[in-house]
Amino acid sequence: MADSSTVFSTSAVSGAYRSSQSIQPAPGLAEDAAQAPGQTFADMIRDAAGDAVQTMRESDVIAQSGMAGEASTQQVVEATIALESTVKIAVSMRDKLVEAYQEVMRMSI
Amino acid sequence: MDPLKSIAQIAASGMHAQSTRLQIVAENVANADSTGNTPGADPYRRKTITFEEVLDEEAGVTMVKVGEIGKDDKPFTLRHDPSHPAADENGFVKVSNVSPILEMANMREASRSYEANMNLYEAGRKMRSEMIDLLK
Repeated sequence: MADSSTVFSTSAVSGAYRSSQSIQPAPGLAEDAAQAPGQTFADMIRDAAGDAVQTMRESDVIAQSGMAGEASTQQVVEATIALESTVKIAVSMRDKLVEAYQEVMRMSI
Repeated sequence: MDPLKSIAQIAASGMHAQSTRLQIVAENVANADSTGNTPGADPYRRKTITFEEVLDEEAGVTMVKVGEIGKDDKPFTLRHDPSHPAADENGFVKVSNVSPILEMANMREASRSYEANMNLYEAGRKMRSEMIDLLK
């Protein structure tokens, strides 16, 4: 296998590193951060989870009124499908987070 | 708004409109033989239905809703049946203006249109679920 120094020249690598240090964050991101100073990653996750729980509660209510004959079959199906995709997103995101956490825990120091 | 999410909303409005249309067809078919009870009284008058577009400002999508449920002005036909309670002095009974052939065609169209909306709903749902599967 070729040595890495023959594939990448050292000066090109250090040049790329220097230019990466001078990169400014995208203007949109900076503005968002200024508008919501307390918004952290944990806050974002909490908001998303709150929305998901809200959708689940709503479809629960519709499913119950469907059983009681108050909501139409179509409404029940719509709410159930909305619930399905919300749960799917929530579970996928949780899996990703757990995976990332385990990755960090496995890191040998 | 997420286009794949709004497909579900739009197709659902189409399905709702078509099921209302089918309801009107069912009412017409069921009442095809309804006549009056007093001499010369009017029988059941065929119901009609129209659709119109409705713009959802919040989501920015155009959906469909039932516009107006009206009455068909077509004149009633007369049937000779002197023993009927609704028969006039000449023995004629007014019969409703429902045409079974027309109602059948209407029913077919409503059913096909419902199916088309259902397929759109399913396609949108499938695309969305495949997109979510990318996270795995």
